[in-house]
Amino acid sequence: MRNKSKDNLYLVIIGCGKVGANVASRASSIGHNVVVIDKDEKAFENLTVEFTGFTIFGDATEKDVLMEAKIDRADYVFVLTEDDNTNFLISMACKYYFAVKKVIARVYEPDNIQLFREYDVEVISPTVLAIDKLSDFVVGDYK
Amino acid sequence: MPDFLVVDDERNVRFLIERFLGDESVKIDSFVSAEEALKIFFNNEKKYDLIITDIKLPGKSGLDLIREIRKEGIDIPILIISAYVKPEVISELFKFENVDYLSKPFTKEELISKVKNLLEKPKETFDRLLREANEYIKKGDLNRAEKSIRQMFKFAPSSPAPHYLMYELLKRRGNRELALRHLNAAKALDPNKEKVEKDEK
Repeated sequence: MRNKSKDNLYLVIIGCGKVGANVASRASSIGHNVVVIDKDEKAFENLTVEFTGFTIFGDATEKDVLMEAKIDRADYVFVLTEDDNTNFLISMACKYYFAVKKVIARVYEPDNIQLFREYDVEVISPTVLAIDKLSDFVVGDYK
Repeated sequence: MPDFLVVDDERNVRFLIERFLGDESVKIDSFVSAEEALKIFFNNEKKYDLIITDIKLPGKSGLDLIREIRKEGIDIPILIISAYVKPEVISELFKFENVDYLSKPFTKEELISKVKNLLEKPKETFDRLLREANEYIKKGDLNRAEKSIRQMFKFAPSSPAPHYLMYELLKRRGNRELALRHLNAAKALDPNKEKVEKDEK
């Protein structure tokens, strides 16, 4: 069942790769307001037919591009570019220039996770997720 | 059920508008270009209650679309939705009556409130002007009153109300002859004229 308070969120997703595009498509199809930013116009081809939202073609490390996305009103920002450093820079801009409450960033390098957390950015790390999952196979009662 | 005409070259945005307004039981015809939309619109202009259009379109722009529709004297409400546009363009847009602007990206609530406003606007504005004109006449500020009355004529050329007000105004200015002409015009347009005639005596 869908949580009532989660109806009509305003989401900004930065990076329209496989993950960003799929999350954007799913979120918009259940009725959220979704804006996707990518600096490669071709990336928007990753969006599925379900996607009903806005696309902004531009570099999210630029303040004007974030402003165009009205990022200050976002309930959540997902920062999903391919590069940890870029993600950090964008997360900081969202958090401390635009005062976005919830910023969630993808972090590949486990050593970087601490840094993001210190600055109050939530982290999702595909590397750590994979390590944990795979470890589960070899260590039965790992945890 | 109101009929809307939507023009946007982005598929996502067309779908978005259809989805956002789908719950409000609105019938939507959407088009990719202004050329297509204009053709359909002029074939059956009475059908539509509101137009929603982007500014940047392939071929004719949204601004061209508004110009062509207003040139024909059609006062249909128009909502412009667009990403960032230059202030010059916005000021150009607001030279037209009955037009509003919503910047992309927008939320469902914003779209619905703009649409509702536009659909209600003509009546609201007319009533407001009527109140204003009455007040100005009472206060004796005849120039301001005349301005409000002129705007009322624009909104509702076939309403007797602005003619009655013009009669009052011109009577006060001492232009008896023109005042009577407005009174006659008002009576001709007014289905309740007997009642008014009684008040006159």
